Amino acid sequence: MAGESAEAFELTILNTVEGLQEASAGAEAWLEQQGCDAECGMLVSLGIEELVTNCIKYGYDDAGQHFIGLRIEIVAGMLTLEIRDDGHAFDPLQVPPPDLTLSLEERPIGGLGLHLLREMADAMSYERRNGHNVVTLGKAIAGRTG
Amino acid sequence: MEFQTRKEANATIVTITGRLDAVTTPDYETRVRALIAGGDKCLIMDFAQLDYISSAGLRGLLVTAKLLKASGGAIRFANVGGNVKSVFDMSGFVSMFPIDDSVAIAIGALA
Repeated sequence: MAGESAEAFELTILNTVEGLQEASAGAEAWLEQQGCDAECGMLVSLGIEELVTNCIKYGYDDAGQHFIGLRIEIVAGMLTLEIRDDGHAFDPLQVPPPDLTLSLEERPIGGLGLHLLREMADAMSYERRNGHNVVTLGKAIAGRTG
Repeated sequence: MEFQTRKEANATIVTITGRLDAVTTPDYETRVRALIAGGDKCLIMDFAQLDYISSAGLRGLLVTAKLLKASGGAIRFANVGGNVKSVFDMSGFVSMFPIDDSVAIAIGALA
């Protein structure tokens, strides 16, 4: 594989648990081929799970089929994960961070997914483009083994 | 995800293998609720074989801890490492829960 050229993984899935599993397995296999470090692998796994799960749960009013698009790209030592869906406009960057100082009794159940992504990614952006939510996560690759 | 339990002293050691994610956590919750309903009060979660945890998994653990707290029980974690440790750090779980280097130390702390 040419080292200079952009390398990308693209997949379109349905808004179902099976779709989520397909995306996780496909991305994991591709990243392994690329020789990414564990932190980048974790960001992609979490990014897909948290964003696709949110979309399945809260993205749509109808019970119909929707497509969610994924693209992972490695360019110049930077990994980018982009997830596109046609659900309600939802900007994950506007969600306030959770209060991590609360005691066990006070801690709400949930609300940690987007926080994990913001913590783990070097860059996170959101755009509403042609009726689609486009969320992008970026992380510098520490070292490539492959 | 595999969910195995064994008893030692007055503790129940729960070994989770694989992934605690949106797909597997409902199964985890069903099993752990059954343990607590059956009277187990002191749980040690052994994460030596846990490869991956997401917010869904964290949610399951929080539910477990709240149930135990309500029943006068306790929860400790052992062998939390790698990606799972990073997620525990980022979510503040490291300051909310007792985490031990080994199951033996956790058993000692509960004795």
